[in-house]
Amino acid sequence: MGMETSAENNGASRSIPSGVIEVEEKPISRQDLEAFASATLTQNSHSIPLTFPTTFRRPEFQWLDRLKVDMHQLLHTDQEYEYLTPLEVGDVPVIRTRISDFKERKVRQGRLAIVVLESEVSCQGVLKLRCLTTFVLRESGVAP
Amino acid sequence: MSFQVGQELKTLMKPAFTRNALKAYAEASGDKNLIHLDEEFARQAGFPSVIVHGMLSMALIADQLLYNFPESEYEIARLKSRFRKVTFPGDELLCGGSVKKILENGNLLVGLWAKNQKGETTADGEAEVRLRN
Repeated sequence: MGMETSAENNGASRSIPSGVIEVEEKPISRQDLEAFASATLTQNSHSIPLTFPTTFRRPEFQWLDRLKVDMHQLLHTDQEYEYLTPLEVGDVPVIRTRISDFKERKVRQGRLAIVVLESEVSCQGVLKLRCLTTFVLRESGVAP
Repeated sequence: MSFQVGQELKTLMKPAFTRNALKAYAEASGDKNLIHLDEEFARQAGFPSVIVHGMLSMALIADQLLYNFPESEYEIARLKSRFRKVTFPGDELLCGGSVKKILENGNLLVGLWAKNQKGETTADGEAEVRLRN
């Protein structure tokens, strides 16, 4: 799968690539919020939509690129947000993303890798939220 | 408004996903993975057609959450979703949930789900909700 693995244990192997990718986004604008709310058919949020932080995923995609992930193999399976301080229009998000877990498993048709990315989003030095994203990477031939 | 453990939330139905909706979401979210946009790419990945962004389903779940817990009265401390079944253009989602328990910190733990027109659970999750000060 183009990813390094280490010692195997009962069909599962594990190696956590180290490092942090940091990206600064452009300031949150009303225009971006309106476009996002429109695209998600959001009717009940009048501030920052709860899943708007998905627009801060550039470091995740950079990690996938660094890991040489074939996007055909990628499935997004879990997402979690912990909201610590409200985001506001004009905030300049700085996102720091690391890989917090990486497991590889043998299944009947081949191998699966489970990658968990953990991000912290700060604006003007204030920690605003934490995000956990889980991807499953399927080896070619493993059914979705 | 008060909530009781076990109380079912009001459900929210959203219109069926269209391919244009996926394009609009890709633009607005920045997630331009071709598995959501390109039929051939999606077939090469093992799917019969493009698939809906999991995060778009989560956005619908989030909207249903705020439908029940309006921002004027409540804050969401945490929101989690697991995408259990792939969703395709033409699918429509009904979102619902229930109050699971009251946490030690006084927050409500709410279970959430999204089901397609066949009644299959496509996503589920939970949220932690607190009253605004």
